Amino acid sequence: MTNLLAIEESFLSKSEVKQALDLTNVRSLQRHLQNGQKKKFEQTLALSGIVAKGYQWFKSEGKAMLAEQGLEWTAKDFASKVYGWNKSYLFKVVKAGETEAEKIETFKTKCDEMEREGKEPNRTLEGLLKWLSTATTEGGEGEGEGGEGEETQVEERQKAIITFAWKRPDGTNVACRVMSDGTLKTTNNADELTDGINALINHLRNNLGDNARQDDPMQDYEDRLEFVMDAEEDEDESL
Amino acid sequence: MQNATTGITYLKTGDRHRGIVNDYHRKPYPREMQKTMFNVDIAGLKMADRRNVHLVGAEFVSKFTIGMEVEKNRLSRGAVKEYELFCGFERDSSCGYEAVTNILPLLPAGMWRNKVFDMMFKASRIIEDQYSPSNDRCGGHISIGVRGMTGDTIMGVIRPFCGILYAIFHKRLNTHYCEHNPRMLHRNDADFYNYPTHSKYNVAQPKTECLEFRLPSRFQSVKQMMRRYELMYEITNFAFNTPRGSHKMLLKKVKPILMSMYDGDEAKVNERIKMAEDFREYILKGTITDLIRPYVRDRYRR
Repeated sequence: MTNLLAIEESFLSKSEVKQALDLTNVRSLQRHLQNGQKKKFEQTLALSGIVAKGYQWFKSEGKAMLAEQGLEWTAKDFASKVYGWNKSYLFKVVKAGETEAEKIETFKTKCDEMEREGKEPNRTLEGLLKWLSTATTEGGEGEGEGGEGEETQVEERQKAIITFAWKRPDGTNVACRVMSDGTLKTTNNADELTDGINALINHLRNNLGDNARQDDPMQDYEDRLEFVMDAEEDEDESL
Repeated sequence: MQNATTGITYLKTGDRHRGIVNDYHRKPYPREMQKTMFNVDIAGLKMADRRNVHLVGAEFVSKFTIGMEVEKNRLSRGAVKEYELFCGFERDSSCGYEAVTNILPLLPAGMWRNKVFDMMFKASRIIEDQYSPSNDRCGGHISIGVRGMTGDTIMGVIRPFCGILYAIFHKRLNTHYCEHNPRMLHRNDADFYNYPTHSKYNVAQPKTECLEFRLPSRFQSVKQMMRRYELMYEITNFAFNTPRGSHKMLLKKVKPILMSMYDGDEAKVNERIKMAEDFREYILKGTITDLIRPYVRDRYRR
């Protein structure tokens, strides 16, 4: 849905394309994905089934149809221009959409069990894919020959206890999250993170002096520095 | 907005003269659009196609360029305004009006070409016959440029591979405006004066920096314009990068384009392919088969 040329908008508005990609439902489900973790996950699953079919169509008839219109799209373009996602997120959604229903039901059952035990399962797309890959690596569920088998566990959803985001003067981002289990999540290197923390410290030093507004020292820096204390962000959504 | 992520964005200039109908030969100069500063525009190209993009200073420059002339009897009401695609409009005594494209990069499929085709799409009200009608008096000249080469040189390299153009537009071979020098010969060629010559009305007219194909028929739709653009890329790329490649290989490459041009009519496409082979022999050796006899001159006899 991003950076669409006029000719691409026209392509996506064709009835046969809208039908093949089930765009009406896609858009509706994308809207519904804003709230509700459990409901969100169900809608993510529904969306993933549609997207998986849409991606298969893109790889076969869709490419031919694009070529007829004079367009060439890579998978990255398809993800960005149809759904507003990056490529890796598209592939995650497609993988979920191609997963057998039985496995998904097993995952959901395990999430329900954890909730009954007072835990918070990672009932997200990422959680599902992690569970699937672990289950595959460990040879799946059930008992091994001659002994007790171990069921693959659903990851418990971690909460971020610290979230930091900084928009640098050149427009690029530095961001990291420290999770409740101590894991650090970031795509930046140590130097970039250090620069970010130093920028924060310098701003605090400069603005927590006599001339600073004591009631809201961060007010002046909203445009360049985000400091988010509440880290309950949806990990399913791509940055 | 253009940046390293979105790549080049083709914009209008705001020049008033590009949005009005000028007198004959009074339209503004074509803009050079065959350059981009952004790697993202060429990032998806296959290695074999990347050789057709040169890094010149801080810019990526397309080795091949194309320009097209859209001749119409009438221009759709309210449609005469500046378009990113066209350098301008002018009156043309032979047909009515002419819209001439800027100098466009001639590219393989990819992000950059999507943007060129987007410009064509946005100019639908001029190109589509349903809005701006045309008739047989209108032509669709296509000019091909190759970086660093004159029109004469281009003609010498590309002519062995023009049989397919002759096949597609064979009905225009006897038209006054493009019937001369039918074998695309250079004036130094021994056979040059054995065929009718003209200073302008030739099948293909060499110019200082490009070769103007006068043979193509009028543009009637955006889809047609895109298909011709794709065809010219394949012919030009083959001629300049695979000159020893077999003609059959070229015809195989362009067959999908022809199938789209002829709405999937494989019989018609195969007929054109056969004609292309015969036209190639005509261009190179002057050989005339029964298939192409109605359309070509055997020296000064018909």
